[in-house]
Amino acid sequence: MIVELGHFALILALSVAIIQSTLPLVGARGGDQRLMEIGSIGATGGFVLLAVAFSALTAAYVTSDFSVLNVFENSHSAKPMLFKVTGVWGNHEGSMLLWVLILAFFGALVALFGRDLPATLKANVLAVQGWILTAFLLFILFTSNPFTRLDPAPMEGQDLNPILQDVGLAIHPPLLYLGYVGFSIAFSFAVAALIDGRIDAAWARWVRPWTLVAWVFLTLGIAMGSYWAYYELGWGGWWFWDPVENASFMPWLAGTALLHSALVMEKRSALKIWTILLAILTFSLSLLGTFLVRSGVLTSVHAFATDPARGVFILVILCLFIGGALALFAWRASELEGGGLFAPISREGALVFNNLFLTTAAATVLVGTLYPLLLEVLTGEKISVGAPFFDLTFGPLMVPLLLAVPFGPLLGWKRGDLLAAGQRLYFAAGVALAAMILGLAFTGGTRVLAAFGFALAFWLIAGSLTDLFVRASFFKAGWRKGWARLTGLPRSAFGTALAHFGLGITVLGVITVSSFETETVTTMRPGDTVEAGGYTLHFDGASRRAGPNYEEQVGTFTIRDGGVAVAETESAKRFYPARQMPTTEAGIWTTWFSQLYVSLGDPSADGQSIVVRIWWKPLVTLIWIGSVFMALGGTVSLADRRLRVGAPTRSRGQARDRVAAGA
Amino acid sequence: MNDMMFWIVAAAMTSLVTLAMLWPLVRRQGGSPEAHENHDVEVYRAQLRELDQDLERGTLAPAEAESARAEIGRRLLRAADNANGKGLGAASWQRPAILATIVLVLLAIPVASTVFYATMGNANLPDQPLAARQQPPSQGDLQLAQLVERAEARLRDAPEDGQGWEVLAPIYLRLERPQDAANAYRKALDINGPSASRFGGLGEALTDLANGEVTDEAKSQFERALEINPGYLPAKFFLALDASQEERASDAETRWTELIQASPDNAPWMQIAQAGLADARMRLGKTDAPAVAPMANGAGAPAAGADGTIARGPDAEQVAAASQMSDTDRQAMIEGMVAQLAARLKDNPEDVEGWKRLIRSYTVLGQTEAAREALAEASQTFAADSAGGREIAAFAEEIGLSAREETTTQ
Amino acid sequence: MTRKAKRLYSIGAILLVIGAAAGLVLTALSDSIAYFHSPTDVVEKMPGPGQRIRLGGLVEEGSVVRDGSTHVTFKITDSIESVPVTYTGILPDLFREGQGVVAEGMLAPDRVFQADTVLAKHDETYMPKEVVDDLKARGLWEDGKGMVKKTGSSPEDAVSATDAGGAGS
Repeated sequence: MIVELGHFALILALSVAIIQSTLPLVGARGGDQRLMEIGSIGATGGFVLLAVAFSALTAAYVTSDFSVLNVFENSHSAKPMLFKVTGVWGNHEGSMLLWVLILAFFGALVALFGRDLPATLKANVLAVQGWILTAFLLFILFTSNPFTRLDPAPMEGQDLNPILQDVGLAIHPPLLYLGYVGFSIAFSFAVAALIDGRIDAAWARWVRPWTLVAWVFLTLGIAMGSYWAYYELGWGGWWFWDPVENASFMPWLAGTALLHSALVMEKRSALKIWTILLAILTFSLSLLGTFLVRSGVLTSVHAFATDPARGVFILVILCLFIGGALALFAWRASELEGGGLFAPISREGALVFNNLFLTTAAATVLVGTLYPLLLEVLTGEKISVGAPFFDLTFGPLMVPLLLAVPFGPLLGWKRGDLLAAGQRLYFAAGVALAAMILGLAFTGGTRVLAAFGFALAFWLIAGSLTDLFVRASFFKAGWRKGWARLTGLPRSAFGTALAHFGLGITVLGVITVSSFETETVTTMRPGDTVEAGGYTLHFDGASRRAGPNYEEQVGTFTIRDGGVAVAETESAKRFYPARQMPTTEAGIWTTWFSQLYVSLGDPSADGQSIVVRIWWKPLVTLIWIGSVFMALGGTVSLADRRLRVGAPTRSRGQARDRVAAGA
Repeated sequence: MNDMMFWIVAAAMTSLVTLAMLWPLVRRQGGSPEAHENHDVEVYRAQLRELDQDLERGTLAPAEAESARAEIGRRLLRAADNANGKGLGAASWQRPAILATIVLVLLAIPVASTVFYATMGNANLPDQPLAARQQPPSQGDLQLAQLVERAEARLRDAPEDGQGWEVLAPIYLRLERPQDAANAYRKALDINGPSASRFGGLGEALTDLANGEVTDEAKSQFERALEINPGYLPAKFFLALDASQEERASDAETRWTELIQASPDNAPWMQIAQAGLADARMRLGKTDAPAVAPMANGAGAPAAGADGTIARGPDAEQVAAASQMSDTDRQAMIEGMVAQLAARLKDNPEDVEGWKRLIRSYTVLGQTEAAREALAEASQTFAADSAGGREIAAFAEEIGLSAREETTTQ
Repeated sequence: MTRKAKRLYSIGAILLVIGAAAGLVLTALSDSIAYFHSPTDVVEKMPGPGQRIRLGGLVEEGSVVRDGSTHVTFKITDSIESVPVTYTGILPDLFREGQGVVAEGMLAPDRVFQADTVLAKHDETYMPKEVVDDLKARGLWEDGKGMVKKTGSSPEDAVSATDAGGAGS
């Protein structure tokens, strides 16, 4: 009964979403408060209903109810409980249900926290959310219903793809979806503004925190996914420019741009039209990502079982929303009022620079991802666009952007002084130069690019710290006063500095690992040793073991530093009989920020030796630690009180008096 | 009953949601919304306050603050001007329009949801959590489970006990643990050496493991079984099934025909065999009555129909029948075979091997009482000091069965 | 500078960046992409040495030879032609004889394909899409049935592998 109630709740949520997507819109046009309020109730109710549906499916997984087709196909009674639960979204149907649940969750948040929004704006936003929800609920019910039943029920399920039976999977998709779907709020606000034909002053103040929330989750989601691929796939790579990775990276780039342009819009009422367009584009890229992953046009590690009908359905949704929003934009954008003016050298100018490079970078990634698809459709020629393409296009675009980052926060609004900002950055430039010289010295002058990369990373790190120092004016005001001013800085200032600092950390990790990692592939017999990263890896031997739902061959290694054993690590090849599938479990040993990564290959014919692949990954963990700093920066910014929007009071006269007095 | 409960809860959910959605409409009169400009004024005022704070903290240069203040001030004044005398207030809908909307919502949510659900859902299908399906186990199952547990415990200590594996393997099959069954049969083959039933059992386990598909590996097991005992019917059955699955129609026809001729009329596989034969003949164009659908090749995950249940054409039914061999049908099949054996031994009791098989079969089926009776009967047939008598006694000891004692020991 | 001139300069700068990016994309597209070839394509067209290609097909049964260390040779076939491949390194988990595989690398003058990457999908019901499309075009594959073979191998056996591409660093 629980399963069927979940199914019913899902359908009920569709009915509610249809009402939510129409009546508030009518209300907003006619100025009827009652109709507009339906939007809030619908958004909250829809969320509750979808939560019921999701819980019902989870219950079916937990109790191994194989009368549900989805459970039968993706679960197994012998699976550990954690993976029974994460298995709910480890497959197409379940993950789409999670997708709409999160969509409804954001809608409900707007309904609950949006009391102080202008009523028509709120009604329009919720209606647009209702459209998206309706479209995806129809998609789920018609092509990917997770509540399809099996009668009679089989006694055992087919198990989840073993590669997905991992803690990383427990967190990765929900984080990623919170990011993807979070951008729907920015999209809805943009479309609502276009429908209304005006942009309220509250617009940017509202869009920015929502974008920030989505961005924080997307950042963490991408980092998590990268780390998961790194340790679970056993190839030692942390980023593959795989189309599905690109699908999450493009909205991140656009979302980062949106975050910065919304700042300009909030502070200076400038870049309004561009920000609206960017909000539409960011969510469009999220939808495109969903389409690419779900339709099966791409072949990727992440692509679940595919079905052409689903692809067509999502393509229709995609065209409807992206096309519709862009058409609306083309029609209405000219009616929107322009905003404040600024000089090219100014905070605004720097943010425009940021936007220009981020969106261009997103565009190159888009080209690299879609070009093979287009070419195949047009000429039938099959090509693959891999890492070399992206290294060649994305890399050069990032360099000017990263160079400019420390300048931005130091420039004044409206008209900035580049020279003054440059003087404040002497210290950072010195650090960067030192890093470059050290880098060259250590490599004997052979690794110029790597040395330049170091300089860039330290430029970012030192630059972000400089920003805080300058704001607190430690040098001018002295330490004690400086400290007081530092603690009094608005949280958003810390947020910016933290995020830029994290960016520097990530760049440092990327540069170091790509320039100085070593890889050794060799056959080893028990007792053999291999040198990697200054450590000696000793192969102790291999043994067989049985896990709860797999068997594994485990290789044990001792890591020695100058003859002294410092650690042991295990690398394994697992075999999952239910799916007849092997996986590789890499052995990873972390020392400081670097890692030694050991992965097993096939044993030789005589069974005496085994192929072993060993990587030394210097500072590799900085890549993810930096991402965590970025997300932390976003969170700190979010905590800034100043992002709250007040409700209007009736005493209009007061405002005028105040201005008169102040001006 | 379950059905009723579902509809009651569903109705409660629907009415709750519908009423919540109607709530703003049935209230007398909502307050009129604030004009946009009032909101704008509020935002600009907040910005001015922040400007002051920044200035106090000294994070903003006075000159910069001044120009920002002037800019925000200008916007604020404009917004405040626009706000005066403007409001969205009175544009509310008239009663009839609101009434129409109420009726619309009242109808749309429940009717659309119910109709939609009725076409997609299966209200009468209860939850079937695995735990509930395994429990409460029937008396026999409970005994069986205990037997399996005990046998497993013993085999962990003495993994070289071939007889133990031999007893356990068919029980695993019956419990739908084909992987375990296959392992057990392999062990039995290793230790006890080849026999038709061991090869046949392994083949069956492998077939179960492949969801009813007779894989090449399974096929070779059945072939070995037939090499040892050319009249071994279960192996013939699966080989015929394999021919049908691979659509080798003429081969299938021969095999099914042979099987049907060799089988007693009440054999549990007769229905499937007839269907397989009819299918094969149809493929060969030998009959104009395509009464039976083809044997599906590979009973993997059945495809879902648009109505939310699994499409159950005759084709899928056949598959289900074949795969249910491992459940009720297999039970019936084994019981049928055992009954035949018992009847034959009544007429012709001088068959030591036959008695051993019968006793083991009863043990496998968990019918310890019947096994004991058979043992007693066999002991009566053969003198205790005859070769047959000694063999029977040794066998009984081997499988841990005693005619006299009350309990089965290990 | 007048406002108009300023605006003109800004637009010019923006166009410059976009133009540079477009230039980069075009250069990269002509240099660093790999075309997909089937074994028949390779035999017929003989791509020149130095041209990166992706060779996709099935691993020929019985062709895998490991020389005891990390060096492997095997043949990739589309059941019409087959091409010998050499590879040094660890093969993906799901690399098996008779199953789908994509190798990336170059054809050496001796017509042996030097692979630097071998891809196999991480899902047992998966077949590299390019391989399926190619086999389909030759009538060697049917939707829902898999590889059309004489022997009774089931479609579940036709399998394999994932982008073990080089690190995107």
